[in-house]
Amino acid sequence: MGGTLTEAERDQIDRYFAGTLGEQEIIEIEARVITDRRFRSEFDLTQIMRDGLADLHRNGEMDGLVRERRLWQRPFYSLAASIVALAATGTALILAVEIGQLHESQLAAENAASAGPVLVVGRHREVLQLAATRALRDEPDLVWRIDPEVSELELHMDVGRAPAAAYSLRVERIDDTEAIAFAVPAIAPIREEIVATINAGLLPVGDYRLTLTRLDSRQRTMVRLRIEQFGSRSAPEAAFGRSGEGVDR
Amino acid sequence: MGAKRLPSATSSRSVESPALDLDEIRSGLLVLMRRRVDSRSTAEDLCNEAIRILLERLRHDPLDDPNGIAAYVAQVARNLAIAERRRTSRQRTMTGHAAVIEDYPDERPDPAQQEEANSRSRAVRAMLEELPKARDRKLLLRYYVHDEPKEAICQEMRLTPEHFNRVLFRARNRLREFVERQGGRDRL
Repeated sequence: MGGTLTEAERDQIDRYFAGTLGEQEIIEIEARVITDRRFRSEFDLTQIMRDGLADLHRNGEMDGLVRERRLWQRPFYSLAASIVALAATGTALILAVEIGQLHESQLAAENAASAGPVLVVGRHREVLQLAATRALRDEPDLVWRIDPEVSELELHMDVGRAPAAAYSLRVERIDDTEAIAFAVPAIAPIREEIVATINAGLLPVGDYRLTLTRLDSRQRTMVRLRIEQFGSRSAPEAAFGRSGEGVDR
Repeated sequence: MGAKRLPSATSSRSVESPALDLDEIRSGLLVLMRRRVDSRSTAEDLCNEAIRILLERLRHDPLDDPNGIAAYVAQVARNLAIAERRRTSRQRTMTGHAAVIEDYPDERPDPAQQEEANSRSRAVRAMLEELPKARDRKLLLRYYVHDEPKEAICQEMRLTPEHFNRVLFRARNRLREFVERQGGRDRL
């Protein structure tokens, strides 16, 4: 009852469907469909092939299928192109996420780095990026020479592009007393800046620690400030290479 | 449960014979009948009728040769299908109210038949999509739909008969896979 069909047997099935067999051959074929399971399977498959192709032909689908497809329309290349497209999309997504994270971390870094004070002192405006020019060891980050005519100091601290809603500011002496010269418990940024006005009399000559703290995360930025008499010259100023004039970022 | 054996002459005459079982006959008849009538249920009814006639015949005139039994029942099935077509044709020419009703037939295909046709088309379409060359698809169209002779196709498409057979062989194998993947022939 049936091994693998020969080409001649398959050909006979095809001719049966094409209507080119004689009466005796038709009887033999139909009898074999009943007695030989493997032959029946091949016969049935041929019928599916013919009916399916006829359906597609009737619906007009064969027209497109018999035209030579271009490279990218072939299944292998379509699949490959799909994989490449998916990979590109995935990579773009990953990059977008990473860029976003990088951007956020840059913002945070800039925020931390740019949290240094921008000082407006009397009639002279000094702009220093303290976070980028941290002094070594015990040297101050910023030296301010007091002009006797100035009675108030206006302190500007750039808090970056993602500021907190509020900060606390504290200025304390760096000496045995650790006295607090000036403190504000909560101050809101204005256009990415913290602005505080300090009476010059509160800051006699000496070293100070200026601490700005984000109230949401308690992240702190500390700057060491040295107050000197006008006319003197200090190491940090020499390092910045300027005196009494601003450097815009 | 074992297959039901035909009451062939093999038992009464004590002749050892590879007697056919009814399930095998029924499967074969159904394959033959489905290309003759559109409705699956009608095909099944006609198969049952053919088997009934066969059993009746064997009671009166036993047959020893399985091929003879198969040929006989296939012939019965063919006659039944022809009779069914005639009957349907006669119904369409009736007069009176029935004729009025027949003037407005429901053109929609039977849902089960439509589903079969859809599954069949899906399998064939999937097979065609995997053929690497448009030429092979064209070959199948000419051979299976337009019934063009193999020799003419080979000559015109400049193919050897071996190449032609290879294309058919590949196409059939791929189609078999897709048919089996869709749940077998019963769904097509």
